Amino acid sequence: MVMTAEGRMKDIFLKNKKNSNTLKDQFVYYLSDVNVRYGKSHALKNVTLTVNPGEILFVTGKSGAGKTTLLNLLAGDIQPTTGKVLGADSSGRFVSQVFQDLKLISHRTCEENIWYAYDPKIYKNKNEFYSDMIELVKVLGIQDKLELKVSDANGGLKQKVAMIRALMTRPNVLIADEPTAALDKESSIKLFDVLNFYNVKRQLTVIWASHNRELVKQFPGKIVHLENGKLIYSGHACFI
Amino acid sequence: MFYLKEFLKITKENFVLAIIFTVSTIGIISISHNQSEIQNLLSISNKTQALPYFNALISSQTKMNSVIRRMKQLPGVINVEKTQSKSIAKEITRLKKSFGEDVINSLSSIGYSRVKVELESGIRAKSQNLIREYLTRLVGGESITMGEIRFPKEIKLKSQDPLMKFLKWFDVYSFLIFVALWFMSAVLLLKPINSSAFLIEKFQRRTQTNLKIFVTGCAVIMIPAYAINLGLNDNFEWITILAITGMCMVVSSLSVGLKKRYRA
Repeated sequence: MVMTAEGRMKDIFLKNKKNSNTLKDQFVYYLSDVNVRYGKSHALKNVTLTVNPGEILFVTGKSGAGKTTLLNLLAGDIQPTTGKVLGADSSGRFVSQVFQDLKLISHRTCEENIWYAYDPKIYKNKNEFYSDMIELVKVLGIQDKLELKVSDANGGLKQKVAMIRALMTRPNVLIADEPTAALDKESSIKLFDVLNFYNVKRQLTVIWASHNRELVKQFPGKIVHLENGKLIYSGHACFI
Repeated sequence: MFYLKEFLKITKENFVLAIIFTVSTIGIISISHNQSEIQNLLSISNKTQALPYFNALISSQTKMNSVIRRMKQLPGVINVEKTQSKSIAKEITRLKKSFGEDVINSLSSIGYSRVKVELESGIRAKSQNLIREYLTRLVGGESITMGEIRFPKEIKLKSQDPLMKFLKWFDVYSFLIFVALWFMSAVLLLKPINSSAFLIEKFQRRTQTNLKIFVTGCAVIMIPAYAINLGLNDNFEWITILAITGMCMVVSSLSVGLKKRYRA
């Protein structure tokens, strides 16, 4: 039976709700009245936000709304000018990122870039990593492009490689900045399904920034909408 | 091993920088470890280049050690050397070919030793003749054949000459050049090291990766270089160890400071 998008959304939402009930007293991030300034530019204005474990959070807004600043703040790459960010430096939790500029090494192959995620602390051996990688690669349909150099790859392939590299780290939190910018709708849905699988199976908290609100509205999860650095809306996508 | 592999990857991708870094590291260690030897070598070569000398063929029946000892005591004589008999034999064989069979037979019964007498630079002609006469008396007129006094391609090296000054401070200049090259290459290598470390830390559960890669790379070059120098010249120089450690610490702290700037 083919499940409709609405049905799938409802199903996933219920699973997420169940997960968050078991961890209701914890949070992954807590931002209290956060301001970030770059010189005269006010990138984030009085943002207060809670990210719960196992949650899928979409950060939407136009270009320059402060999405990347918020993500950098959560990743611990920048510090707030004023306000508190709790959870950004928590030990024992691994945060993986899909960068807006992807940060792939262009003179190496797609596979070599994915191997950057191989950590002997979480994989028993290289075979275990390799079989996991192949599984993901097959799901995203790039198995015949692994030998291609990143410099020769198209935008979509690069984004898939960056996403696989991030997921192969077996993170607790995944922060993805515009991970579907170069993907068509079908590939974007496939990518979301993969993230959702990890979310349900491994309690992965996903923070996904996108300027395309219409796309993310189709997915279950919480939406945080930013405009000129201000948080305008925070709630579940299905209620928007 | 992981950090070493990363360092090798980076050196492969930045080959010229890596070569400069390696050569300057080896240079710094070698110069600071063998400073006194280098200075000795330079001063000897300066001396020998400027001295006038003459050669003498002396019958091997003469007590050569006694002759050399006495000649060395003479004022105006810097050094007296007995050259290897093999080279003399070759020379005599060559000379024999131009004479007849009888001469060859008579000559073959006589053995020769060649002696090189080095004189003070600027010695007067009168003193030169006195030295030659003294040698003839010591050995006996029939047992000696002397060559003319030769002046090697004269380089007037005086302490005030720029070339002499340069040679005097050669080890210091070369050390400073190597230190400058080392710092330059190390700082330029920090960029790819920090970029690589940034990615590793983002995708693996590791910390201080940039420092670990840099220190591993330094150790891989420095330890063998120092061990080889220690094998050739077993003077343990603390100053070398301290200098190198200090330089590594300076660049390491720079690496920490530049960590956020040098992202992938």
